[in-house]
Amino acid sequence: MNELIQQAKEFGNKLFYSFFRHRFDNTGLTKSKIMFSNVLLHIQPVKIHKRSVKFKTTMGLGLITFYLFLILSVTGILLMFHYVPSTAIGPDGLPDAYSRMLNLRSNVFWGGFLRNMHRWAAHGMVAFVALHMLRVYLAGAHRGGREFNWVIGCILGLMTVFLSYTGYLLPWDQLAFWGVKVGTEIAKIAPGGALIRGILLGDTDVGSEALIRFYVLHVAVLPVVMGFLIAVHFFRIRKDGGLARPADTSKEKQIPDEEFGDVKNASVFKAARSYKLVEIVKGNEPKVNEETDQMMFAWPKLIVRELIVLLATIAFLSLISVLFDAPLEGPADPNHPPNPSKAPWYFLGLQELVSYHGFIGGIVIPGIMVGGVMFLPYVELFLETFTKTYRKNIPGVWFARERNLENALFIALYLFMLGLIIIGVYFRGMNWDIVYPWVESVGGGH
Amino acid sequence: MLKDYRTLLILALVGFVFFAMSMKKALDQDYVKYQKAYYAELDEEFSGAEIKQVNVKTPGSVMVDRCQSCHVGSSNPDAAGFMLPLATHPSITGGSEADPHDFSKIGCVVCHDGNGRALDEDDAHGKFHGWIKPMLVGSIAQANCTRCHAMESGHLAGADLYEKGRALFLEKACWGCHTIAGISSSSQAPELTDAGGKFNYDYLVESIVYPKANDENSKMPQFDWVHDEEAVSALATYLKGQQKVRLRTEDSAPIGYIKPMSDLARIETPSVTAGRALFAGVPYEGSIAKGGCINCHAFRSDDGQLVGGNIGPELTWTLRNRGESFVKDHIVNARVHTQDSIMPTFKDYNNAELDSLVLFLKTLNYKLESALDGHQLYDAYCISCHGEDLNGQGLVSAMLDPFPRDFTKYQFVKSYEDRFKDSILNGVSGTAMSTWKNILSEKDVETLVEYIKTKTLAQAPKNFRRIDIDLPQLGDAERLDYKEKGSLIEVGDVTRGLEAFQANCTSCHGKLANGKGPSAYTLEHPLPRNLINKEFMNQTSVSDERLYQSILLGVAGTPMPSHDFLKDQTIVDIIAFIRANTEDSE
Repeated sequence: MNELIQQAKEFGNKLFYSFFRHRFDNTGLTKSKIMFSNVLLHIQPVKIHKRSVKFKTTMGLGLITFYLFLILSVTGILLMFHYVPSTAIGPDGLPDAYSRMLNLRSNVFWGGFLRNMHRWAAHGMVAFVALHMLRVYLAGAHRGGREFNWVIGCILGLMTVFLSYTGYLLPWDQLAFWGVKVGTEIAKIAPGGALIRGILLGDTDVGSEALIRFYVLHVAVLPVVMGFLIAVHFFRIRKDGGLARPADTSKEKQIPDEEFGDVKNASVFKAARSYKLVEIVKGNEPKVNEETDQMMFAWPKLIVRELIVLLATIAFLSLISVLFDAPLEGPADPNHPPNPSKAPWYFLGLQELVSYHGFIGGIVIPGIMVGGVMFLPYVELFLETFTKTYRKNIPGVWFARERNLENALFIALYLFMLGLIIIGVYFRGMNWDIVYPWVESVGGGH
Repeated sequence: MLKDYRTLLILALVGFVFFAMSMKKALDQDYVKYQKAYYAELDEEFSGAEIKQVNVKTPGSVMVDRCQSCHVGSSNPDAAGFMLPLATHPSITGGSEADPHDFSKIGCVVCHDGNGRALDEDDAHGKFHGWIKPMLVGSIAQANCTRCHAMESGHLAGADLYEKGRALFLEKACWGCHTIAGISSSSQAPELTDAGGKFNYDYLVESIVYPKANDENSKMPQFDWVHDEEAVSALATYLKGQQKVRLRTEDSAPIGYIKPMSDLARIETPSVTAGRALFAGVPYEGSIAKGGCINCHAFRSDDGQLVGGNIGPELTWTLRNRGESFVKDHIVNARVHTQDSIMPTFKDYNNAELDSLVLFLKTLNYKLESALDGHQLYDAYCISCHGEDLNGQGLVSAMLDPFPRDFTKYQFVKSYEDRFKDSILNGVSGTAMSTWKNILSEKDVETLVEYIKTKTLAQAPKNFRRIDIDLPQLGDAERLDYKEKGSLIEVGDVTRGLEAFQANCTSCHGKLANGKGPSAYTLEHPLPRNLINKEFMNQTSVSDERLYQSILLGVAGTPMPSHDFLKDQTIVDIIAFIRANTEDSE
């Protein structure tokens, strides 16, 4: 009998170690093993700087953006089971794509909630990309070898907007049709814009061809490219030695001695086979017998904090989705434009500019802004090099005094766009006249 | 670290609660509640909620109809007294024993519109922004009777509101401007053959009650009966029923197609009673009414009682003023006399019908007492157009084009008082101002002119005087000859005139010279003159000299400014251009 128990235990152990290749004790070895023997966790390094888990370092903005991307992928795939990118008129006189929206709202179980989640997460992702970018800039984290990662981040931001925009058309209701129509009309103003517009729409106007193209871009092309770029974005952060941070000032030990277990020679990896070259990242190399840098094990603190952000994001999004339904208007009707016709909110600043002057407002100013922001670290680098004003860049410090001018300009840019968007969303009524939202409420833009 | 785990736990719980809420929202829909209540009230066992869907098959389409998931008792007579979503549908045909409509086969959307596949109340009733077919509640659902029943004419049980609207469409003279295929033909106003297919009920009501709601420049009059909600509702129901796409064809319609009677019964012998019926828009001896002058025009009965609409001029004196042939021509096509009139063309009238109308107008014999002062004369004859305050904004002025003259501007009255007598006696061609010489004596007219002058000129400054300036003759020296070239006035050149007109005049008078330039919309009374109104431009009082003075000095008391920067030659060219536009082609 005892033998049987023994054998069962042994079998259980084998089973356990076939899933997990480590124990769950509190030693540094185990903590390291947990991180690098799990494909999901190994995206993160085994050891991180203690700043990384502090809320004020990142506010979790980039992480929230990434989680929203994951949520969008999951809900998007579920929605794909119900959606048809077709404008063919169905048996009840409505375009297929639109009648699928009606089905989602009425007789697909949980369909309305899924659509709400997807809609609000999409808007949220655009907003959080912008906030993440603001954080990175204000903390000076785009410098010190991270310039190119900033460019990749900007491309990711643009792709987020484009993903949201391609998805905006898919419900094929009045809001979708005219929102996209406004955006594509703006594209016409740009030199060569008519060609790009023609390629995107596959027609001279927003129609059935545009719907299928936007659909393929939305569900296949853009998410795949975006997933790849996200991987590059994360990879470069790791190769740059984690989050941008100033030099350590504290000598306090981050990893208590007892966590090293019984190993007496202070080697963390005594019992494990160690590769000679694990990884090369920026930063001071750890010295033998000296654990004085401010690094700590990622497990479990970082993972738990990340889970907290994930759960908070999901919970908040669920609440929004239970409370507010995603908008759906009448089926798209090219003959009856709503007045006013508004683009989605993130383009309303642009639409507001276009309402002043087509070419300057629609192409020149946004072109300078997007291009300028994207290559901002290089502009800074260029100016510093050629004017020989090498200033001390302290990456990872909020509102560094040396960068007051840049920060002020960047905040001004954000306020400018925010102001335009608020005017566009709330203060523009019929015929694009100024209205006051407390007098007359206006729709569109969401 | 412990704090982190606690946060994680709390968030997990909160997330689970929200997740559960979303599930509850998805599971616990209204129809489940209603079906439970329904079976409880019926004292029957509730065997689980189900979505009750009707697929209404029609040629070329299937209508998905889930309304009876909530309206579960609609065809159960036992549910008569139940609360609203559960109760029995009231009888449609009214009175007849067995209602021929079977809801389990035709569903609800066929008649009531809305969003049949939705299960949420607001969603299903189409109460969300932009839904194409908002629900037709109550009797206005009769608009959809014609989706299946062909009934251009004749009677259909239960469709009384629709039938009332159909009668009103003729009685209120809507037919005069709007085409509905098979009923009327006119190009004055948008066609309404597919009005119900294009517009929803609320839009139609809004367009009837306030025509300018969606088109600021709409010329549709705002009738005074639009405050009668039932009439508007009936008319809008009828218009909502005008749909090109129908669920049944003429061959398969449950009630046969009856040809409109209007084509069959016409008035053959002229008579006063026939004329009165036409004027009032009521049926006459079996004809379907095709008149309705009274909706726009008023007249005074023998005891001075004013009846009728106030969209067009009052007709009490018209026949006496204008004469028989003018009136007949005007009914057939008002634009031969007044180019900008909005009066519909009644070109379908036969001679007997025109004669009947004239005969009826002849019976209007109202006369005023002989000795009257200026004020009384003005109140009797002028006030309806020129207004109580002489400001040209009388009751019927809004739809007249050109507007009646505004006499409150002393600049105008002082400058042009010589013209007044002639204008009253002989009328102003091309406008709504008729000749009054058959009604008013010369002395009456002088009294009237004096009345206007005393009313207005009181405020005029003593020394206000209009410059008198003569039309330059051929060979006269150019007025603006700075370089002293010694230019002489030549014959006006139309091509140069066109160029000068486009450079100086089009912003108000328009590219077509019809007085509808872009700036005209911001001007107030009086609006720029229509310079291609032949009837107006070719009357004797509109001489070249008058045009010259009006261009050079402007027209006092109106938005027309002076143009003393123009050379005389240019003005002469412009006059030549204007004249060339209005030359009689014969």
